[in-house]
Amino acid sequence: MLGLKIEKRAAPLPWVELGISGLSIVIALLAGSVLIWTQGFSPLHIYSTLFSGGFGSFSAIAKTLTKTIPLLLIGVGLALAFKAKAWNIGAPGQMIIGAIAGTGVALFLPFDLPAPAHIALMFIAGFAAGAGLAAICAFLNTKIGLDMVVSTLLLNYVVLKLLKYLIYGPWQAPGWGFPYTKELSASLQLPTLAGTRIHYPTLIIGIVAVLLIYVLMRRTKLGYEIRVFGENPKAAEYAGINSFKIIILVMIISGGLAGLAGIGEVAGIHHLLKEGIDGSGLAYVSSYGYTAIIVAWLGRRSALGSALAAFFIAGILVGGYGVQLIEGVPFAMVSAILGLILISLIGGAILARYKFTFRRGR
Amino acid sequence: MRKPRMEETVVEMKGILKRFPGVLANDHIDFDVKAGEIHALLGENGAGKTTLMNILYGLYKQDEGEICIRGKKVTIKSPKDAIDLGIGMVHQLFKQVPRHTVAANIALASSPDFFFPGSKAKEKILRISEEFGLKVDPDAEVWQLSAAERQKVELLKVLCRGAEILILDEPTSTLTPQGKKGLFSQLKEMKKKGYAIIFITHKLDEVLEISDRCTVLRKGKKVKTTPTSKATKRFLARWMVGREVLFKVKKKTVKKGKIVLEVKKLRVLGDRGETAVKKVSFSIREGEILGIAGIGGSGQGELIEALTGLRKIEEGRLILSGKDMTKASPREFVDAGVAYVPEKRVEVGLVPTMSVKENLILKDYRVPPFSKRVFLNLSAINRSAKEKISRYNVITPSPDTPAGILSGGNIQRLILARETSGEPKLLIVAYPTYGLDVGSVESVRELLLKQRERKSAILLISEDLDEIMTMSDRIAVMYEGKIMGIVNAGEVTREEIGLMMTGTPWREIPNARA
Amino acid sequence: MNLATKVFSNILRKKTLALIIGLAAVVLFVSYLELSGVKTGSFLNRAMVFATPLLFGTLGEIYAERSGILNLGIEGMMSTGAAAGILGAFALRSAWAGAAVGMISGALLAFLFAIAVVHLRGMQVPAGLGLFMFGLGLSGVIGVTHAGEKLPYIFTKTPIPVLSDIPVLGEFLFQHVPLVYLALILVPIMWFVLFKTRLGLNIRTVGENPAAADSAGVNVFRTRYLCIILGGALAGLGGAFFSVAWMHYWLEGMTAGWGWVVIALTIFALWNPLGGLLGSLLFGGVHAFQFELQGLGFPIHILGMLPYLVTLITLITLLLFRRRLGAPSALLTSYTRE
Repeated sequence: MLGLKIEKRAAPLPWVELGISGLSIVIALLAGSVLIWTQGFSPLHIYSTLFSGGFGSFSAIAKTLTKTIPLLLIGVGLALAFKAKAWNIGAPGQMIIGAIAGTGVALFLPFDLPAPAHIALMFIAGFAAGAGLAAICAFLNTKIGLDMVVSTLLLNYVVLKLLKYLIYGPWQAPGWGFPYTKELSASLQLPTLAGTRIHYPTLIIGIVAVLLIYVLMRRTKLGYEIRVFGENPKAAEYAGINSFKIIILVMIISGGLAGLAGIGEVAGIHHLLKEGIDGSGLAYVSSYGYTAIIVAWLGRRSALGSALAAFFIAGILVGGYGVQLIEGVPFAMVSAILGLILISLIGGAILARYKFTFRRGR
Repeated sequence: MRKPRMEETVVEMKGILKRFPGVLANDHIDFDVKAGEIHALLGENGAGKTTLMNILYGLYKQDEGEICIRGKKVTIKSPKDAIDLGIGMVHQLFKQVPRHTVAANIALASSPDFFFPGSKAKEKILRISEEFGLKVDPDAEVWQLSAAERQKVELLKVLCRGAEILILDEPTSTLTPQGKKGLFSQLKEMKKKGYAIIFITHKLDEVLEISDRCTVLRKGKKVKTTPTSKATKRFLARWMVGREVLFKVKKKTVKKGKIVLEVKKLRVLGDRGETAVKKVSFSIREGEILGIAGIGGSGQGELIEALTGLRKIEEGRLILSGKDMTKASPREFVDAGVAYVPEKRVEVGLVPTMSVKENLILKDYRVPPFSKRVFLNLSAINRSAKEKISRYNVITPSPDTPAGILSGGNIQRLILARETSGEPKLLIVAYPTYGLDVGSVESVRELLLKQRERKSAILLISEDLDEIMTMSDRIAVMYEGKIMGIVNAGEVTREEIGLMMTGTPWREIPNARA
Repeated sequence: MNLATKVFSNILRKKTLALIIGLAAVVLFVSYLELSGVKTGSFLNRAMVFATPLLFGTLGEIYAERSGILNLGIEGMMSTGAAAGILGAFALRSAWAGAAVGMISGALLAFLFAIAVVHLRGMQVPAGLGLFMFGLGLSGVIGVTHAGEKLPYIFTKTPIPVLSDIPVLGEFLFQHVPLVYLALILVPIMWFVLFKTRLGLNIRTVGENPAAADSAGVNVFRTRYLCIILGGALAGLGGAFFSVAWMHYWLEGMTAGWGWVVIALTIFALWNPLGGLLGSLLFGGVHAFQFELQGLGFPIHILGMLPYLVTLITLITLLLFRRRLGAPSALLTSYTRE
């Protein structure tokens, strides 16, 4: 008989960590292929269409990069929050509230500003709104012990209703009665790289955010505090680290980045406020705010890892959209596969802590 | 289950071998127990006693060797199998649910009834507690009980299940001398009734006092099994440690300096909102060790947390070097030069997943040379880590190794390196040698005494009375949150401390020299 | 008087106070309804229907959390339950079969989650989020063939004789489809099992101190699997209630975050099935009430926030009054013998 022997690993090896990410993707794709097959499609064909649609050509890469922007911004913020075990599941709401606040500044500023300053103000408003919403949850958590998962999630639905109220109500553009606001004036729309929809100012903000968070985590006192707090809150308290400060800060950063992603989508792509600016136009669950949770975990909660994961997942989203158009496979399939990736990542984490060896015996 | 005859061998373990990563915890151990005997299993921490018994109780599975119960070869896969075979284990850390009642805790282990297990178990509990003289209120919730009462609950649990083979893992570690006496008389009673009792300990006096036979383990190997009547303390000690034990600390006289810490009528709440520390007052001077004795849960834990800012002070004042720190935060205590070696080293004192060098700066990452404005100074951190590792003899593969994989002694030296290298004004140490091997115990005690010579004020909390009595200059004894008396270490006997630990104030003890 | 009775009488006093406040609120509310021309009975009837899927989900999650496992994937299991339920009902031509299929689908998803967090000791929060996304995605894939299609096989309303004739109360509780009665009956049963039987004692001990349970011979893994799968089955049933028993059709995202409300209600219920009933009714009541207010000209989307906001505010209030809610001590920890 073959016996399984499980031993504790002395220290997690970096290549094992990387291997788990790869393995999780493989497992999820395999399980997904069963699902695709039961729906009467050929998994191999679907996957090749999906990956060539996401990464196979210059225009595919351009589309993928466009979708990378919000995933990057939100994902790297969540990586930071999750590192401190602050479970911010409210990125969809923080993204929308950022879009609302930014659009509000764009459309209803009572005085005139030169365009660059006006755009800057839009982004500042977006950041502040997202950060503020997240900070409320952080405050309730640290002061009265309200579970952050619950508060951030319930607020997602509240904010979604607020968006609907605005675009069906007071902010609706006059005319045909579509649930849109009127368009941003041309000077406030972000420039894009020639021939693509890559609104590069937001991309640059995203890359800067990744680099800043990388430095923050590795080289600063605050990063050290965040890591200590996330790994062992009791030791953090013992060391005199202020948990209130840590939670509030990581929530402000992650919420603010989600808010930036929101106004970025409005100013860079849609040029008006409507439902689905958070990426949920394709399937109910495909809001960038949820998808970015997977980005953060696939990137092993590190800044650079999240950046890579954001690009990869954006490719799957783009490819999945193509597959729905060409082959008629529902886009929800992509959500299912992404969910499976996350479950496999969490289940597979044990490989980093334990060594499994098979041996004959008994 | 058939009642075994007296003297019949009920447990026989042959050639037991168990490997853990990097250690051979049990190396071909033979062990047997007869009905109606108390068999002591003696050895240092890490000798493999608990591992061997966890195998017998089904918590671990041996890699090699076999077990026979009442002459029949058995495979024990889980505690359930062990319980079915009539084996019961009283663990060192009680496995109880504080929020449930005594009856519910016992019913979990023994109730044959699907409906109303708690209330139906009560009758049985009362009958068995009568039979063995183990009085506990079955309706009390466990968190309200004292350590001695919780020990009784643990014994009742095992007896209610109908166990005839009892394993007791260091049962006296949380008891007062008086509580220990009670336990021993109950064990003798059980022995007379034909129970087989395995008594795990590292205390020689207990072996000689209670056991019929004893088996000595050292580093995973069996050294000897002998009838206790033929053993002497000296031989047992040599078998256990492998050399003569010298437990003499060289304590120099140190001239006491100014008062460092002064505590006045402190009142502190426990986790459940009860008053855990009641009007406690004392002071410590430079170069002085104040030992705090008391059975576990007498308020020492809450007191220390209050002295380090981790717990709120409800009433009273705390003055550190003349400065009022009653309302200070943990950070202000750290900055004021209060170092703290916590009881739960890995859970509180360490970030196990982070590296040794990162753990070494846990308290001073925010001050130069380890940081400059918002940034960490990595080269200074590396340099200081190397220096501390060699100075404090922390054995680690590298400064980048996760601290959690070091051995207990090395973890304690790492924490002491961090806490004492900054020349603290006040050093608070809780249970500093608990669970360490002999070599580490000596090095830790020497370190503390060196710190005393450097004129630190030291507050020492320990359950080891010998440690308290040899290390301290003065001893305070706590009972139910109150201080029963503060005495000079040379002017008090073990028995007097035992009396104070169970609630007799110093001034009421006859012949007290106060 | 010993400590235990003192504590008990203290609780009793607090509970009486809460009861008086609660009763006063109910009286005020009912008189408001009657004055504004709404029939209280039919209003409560609707509230009970809205409360039912939440009640199923909350009862299941209470068991999972009592065994020490936080399963955040309720929303995913509910969605899949709704889609699988409609699929099953169409395929097997029966509403009952649909409910059963929904239940099984929820249980299967929960099993997947259980492997990840019990055997593989994965972190419960992210694993639950993964389950949430997987469940929602899966529902979109399998449900798409029948999206929006009216289900011809439905439960019939079966008023309970005699009891249904009681004014107000009869309409509130005893004029429903059978699944509502099932949810109501489960409340006392699940309360009794949890607090008065050996199985319940095992579950609670596993959730408080798994090492103690293991040492006493309780199989910790099996108990946790049981509770997680039971929780999944009930969440799936709650989802199937949406599509099969209530709306009679399926739409993507129809559970609209109610699975997350379940997580909140489990806290509100203080991990007690009786509290679960109270919380579900509160949410169902607020949900029903917003439809009444729509008639008065309030904007619908603002009213749509109400159920979520009320849940949040209720939790905040609860936490302001009680610092310690008494969550199971071992919640969020995985167990191993090392």
